[in-house]
Amino acid sequence: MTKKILIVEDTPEALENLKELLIMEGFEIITAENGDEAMYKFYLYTPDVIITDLRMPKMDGLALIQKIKESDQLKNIPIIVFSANDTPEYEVKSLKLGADVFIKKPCSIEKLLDTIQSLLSMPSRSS
Amino acid sequence: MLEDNPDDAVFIQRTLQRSGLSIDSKVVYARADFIAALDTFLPDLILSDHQLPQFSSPEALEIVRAREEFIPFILVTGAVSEEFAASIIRAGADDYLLKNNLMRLPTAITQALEKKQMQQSLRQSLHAKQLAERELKDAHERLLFHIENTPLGYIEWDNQFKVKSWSQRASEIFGWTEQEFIETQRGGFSTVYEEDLAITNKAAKQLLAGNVDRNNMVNRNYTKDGRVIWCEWFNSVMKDKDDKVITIMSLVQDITERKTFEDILREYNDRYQILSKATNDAIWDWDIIHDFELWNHGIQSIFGYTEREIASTKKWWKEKIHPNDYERINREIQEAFATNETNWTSQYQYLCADGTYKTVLDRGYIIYHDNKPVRMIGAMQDITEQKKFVEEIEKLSLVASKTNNSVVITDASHNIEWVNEGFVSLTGYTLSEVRGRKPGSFLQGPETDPVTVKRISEKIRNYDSFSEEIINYSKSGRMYWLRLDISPVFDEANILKHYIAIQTDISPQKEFENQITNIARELSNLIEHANVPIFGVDRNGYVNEWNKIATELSEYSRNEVLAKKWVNLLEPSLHRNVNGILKRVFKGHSTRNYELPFVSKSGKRLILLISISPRMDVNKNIYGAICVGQDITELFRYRQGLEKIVKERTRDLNEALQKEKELVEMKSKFVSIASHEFRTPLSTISLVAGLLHKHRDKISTEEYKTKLETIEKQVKHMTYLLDDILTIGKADAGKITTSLSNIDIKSFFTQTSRQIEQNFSTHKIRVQITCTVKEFYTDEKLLRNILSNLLTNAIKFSNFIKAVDLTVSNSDDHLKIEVEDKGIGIAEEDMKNLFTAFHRGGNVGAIQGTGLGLSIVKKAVDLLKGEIDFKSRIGKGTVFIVTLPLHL
Repeated sequence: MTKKILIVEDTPEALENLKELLIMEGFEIITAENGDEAMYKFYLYTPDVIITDLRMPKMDGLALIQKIKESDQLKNIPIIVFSANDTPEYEVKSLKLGADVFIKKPCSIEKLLDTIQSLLSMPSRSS
Repeated sequence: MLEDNPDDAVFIQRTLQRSGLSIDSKVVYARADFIAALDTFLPDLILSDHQLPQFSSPEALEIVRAREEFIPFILVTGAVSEEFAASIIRAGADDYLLKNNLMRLPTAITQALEKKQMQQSLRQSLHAKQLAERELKDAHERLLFHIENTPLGYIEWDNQFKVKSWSQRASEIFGWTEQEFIETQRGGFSTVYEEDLAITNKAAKQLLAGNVDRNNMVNRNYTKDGRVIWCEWFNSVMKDKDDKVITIMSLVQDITERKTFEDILREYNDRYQILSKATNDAIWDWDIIHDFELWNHGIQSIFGYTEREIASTKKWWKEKIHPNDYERINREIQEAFATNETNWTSQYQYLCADGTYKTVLDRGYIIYHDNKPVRMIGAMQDITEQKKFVEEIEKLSLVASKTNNSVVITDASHNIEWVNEGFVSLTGYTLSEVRGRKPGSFLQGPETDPVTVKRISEKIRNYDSFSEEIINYSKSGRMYWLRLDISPVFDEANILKHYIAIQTDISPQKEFENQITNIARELSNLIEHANVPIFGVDRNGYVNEWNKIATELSEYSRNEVLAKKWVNLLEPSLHRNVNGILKRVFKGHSTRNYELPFVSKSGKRLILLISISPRMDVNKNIYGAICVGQDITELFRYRQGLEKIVKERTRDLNEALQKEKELVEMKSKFVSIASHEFRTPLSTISLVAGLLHKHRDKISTEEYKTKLETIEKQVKHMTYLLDDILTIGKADAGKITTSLSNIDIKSFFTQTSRQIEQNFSTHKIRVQITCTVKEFYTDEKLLRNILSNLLTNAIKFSNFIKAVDLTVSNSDDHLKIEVEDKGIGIAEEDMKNLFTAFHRGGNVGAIQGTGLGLSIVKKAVDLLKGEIDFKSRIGKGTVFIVTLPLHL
């Protein structure tokens, strides 16, 4: 069964390229430009993995993670934070809030795909 | 100037030159050079960098502050911590400045030099105060020393003859302690023997009337246990500058012993005279041939025989001679006859009618006939009393020889007959050396007062008993003050026989009296003429001293404040505090450097720095307080000013530090954001490159091309980003140098607009130039940067209306550039951060940008000394207005 990935990214270029890459890797891709949109799309599509940027208008990545973790329905979905922010502070904050992995931009395609695969192959967390 | 960076040194020197201050500067940076320059270059002021190789500003400051003279010290430094700035100001630096803000340097230097001058004058006045305090203390100590070490009692009276001070020795003489006098407010006359009240009153009046500065007197006083003692007083007065007597100082000596001796002498003298007058000789006439003797009445009156009892024979006479004398008298008479002597004199005991013996002096005249004695006429004189007197004189001589006073007995012609041991030890002359000489001929010398000598001569001529004080000289030439008590001695015929002089060496008293008077005068002078305010209060807080400077400062004269409560001259709010201080002082604790606000008579507000010390009498009892002050009004104001300056500086510094902090934060934020901005396109490049690499078999040539273009686009974006960041970095580091030239307004604006139109080829730029000037003088590159950024933004953010407006106009001295679009506008919340680097509006969406454009524009406008403003409404459009000076 095709795995669904939700990409939350406000920079159109970055979003497009990431989406294209993951489609080519055989994933079904849902995109959102900010946290608000992402929350709505979670409920609609229940993705298997979330890849989110941190700095975004309206609802930023940290608020988004918090929201996800507060929801019984969504809290078991693995979250990958994919951010150009290189301050350790944000990495720590994200992980504390419940993100599974923090990947700093730029990163190799292999690393990104390996991370997605390993999160998907994890025994699904019981709700 | 302590500065290790030659560029900074030159820059500071130029700043000083431009300020118009006439300054001769020397730049050093090593410790040894700095110390040498202090001695050779003699700087008026020091500007010091903070950190120097192997030396630092705190060390330099410590060296400067350890020196005698005051040299202002100003820290001129790049950046320092708030704590350091505060600590160096506390350590005594006068000011500090940051190198990037030297505008205040000339003012700081002027202020510091003014401070130096102030310090110097303060130092002088402080020095004067210390000197005055020390002199006062010395004088007071010397006074106490003398008082404590005198053999005489020391008593100080006020002008009512109430006791102010009563020394230990005085207590020993009189039995009363000082406390007993002060508590009972007893006057001095209460101790005077009633019969002497008249003379003591007279002497006291003389002193108070100011007729004399000093007098001496001898009178009787009572002691506490009721004895009457003879006292010799040496009194002197101290007057204030109005010639009013404030204090009478007395030295007192118990002379009862001496006086008693004098009295005995006088008494004997009197008795001798009376006796000699009352005595009648017994005259006899002896007819030797017929052994017939005739007597006058004397034989009856002296010896008590009745006429019937008297037999006219020699035998009758002879029988009555004391058996002890009988043989001798007989022999003497026979011898006289044998040698044809005409005179015979002898003394013997002669029997009276009542069986007692009297001593007689018998003098006979022998008449011879043919060498044979035929008649003898004589007189028997009763010398019993005289003999007794002589014996007693001998006894007296023994006493006289024991007394410490020197005793001289002369004959009627003033030739010395006898002197006692006291005289020998006083003068150094022995009895044999002086016998027969006149005392005045060898005891007087150059310092002897001729007037006194004349007076003594007169009194001697008048046979008076008298006392005088005179300077005499000893054998070795020692000069001493002598008190002479001279009494004439008369014989029975009232003829002057002797003089008895009792001499007392009063040099120590005289010397002490002089010293004590001088010291007391000196003390009083010191207080009066000290060039600092000095005032005193008694134990009840009433003013009793108020010197010249105190009068000058307070504008209250001495008479206005004397006997008034000192605190009443002060503001009520100070009363509690000052009373507390006085209480402590009266317990013996001095207060130093108390800052006392004081309002003068005319309402001038002064600040006095006062030291209050207890005043002690000779018995170490505290009887008041003395306050030595210093007018520090000026210093106080200056200090207040200084505190204000320090506060201001601290505030300035805090602001500067805050700015510095913000700058550092901003820079760190900038780096963080910049890295974020680079990571985003890098991420895209990385992912696209990875995709191309991994899936090159699956993607079409067309797609492949698109992917490469994406990479190229990201690289291009990064290049812009880098350029912009470098521009901002340069501007922040102040490394953008302006190169000014005349610019033709019309051609510049139209050409630049054309170029941008061509770059985008989507929008039209409507240029409207309404300038009254053709050219303006500015930096072309910066101007182009401003214009292209504003026009590019206008085009980028207006998607629907494909035209922007550029309007250029001018005022007298400014050029006004307006760039207007009908684009997306700027949201209210974005406006305040509009010129912040990397800030992008919330509504920019996919519109490309680095977020650095407006930040660069702002910096360029600043460099050209212009201003930028904008008006915008979301969804309606934006207008940016830049005004630049026509001449830079």
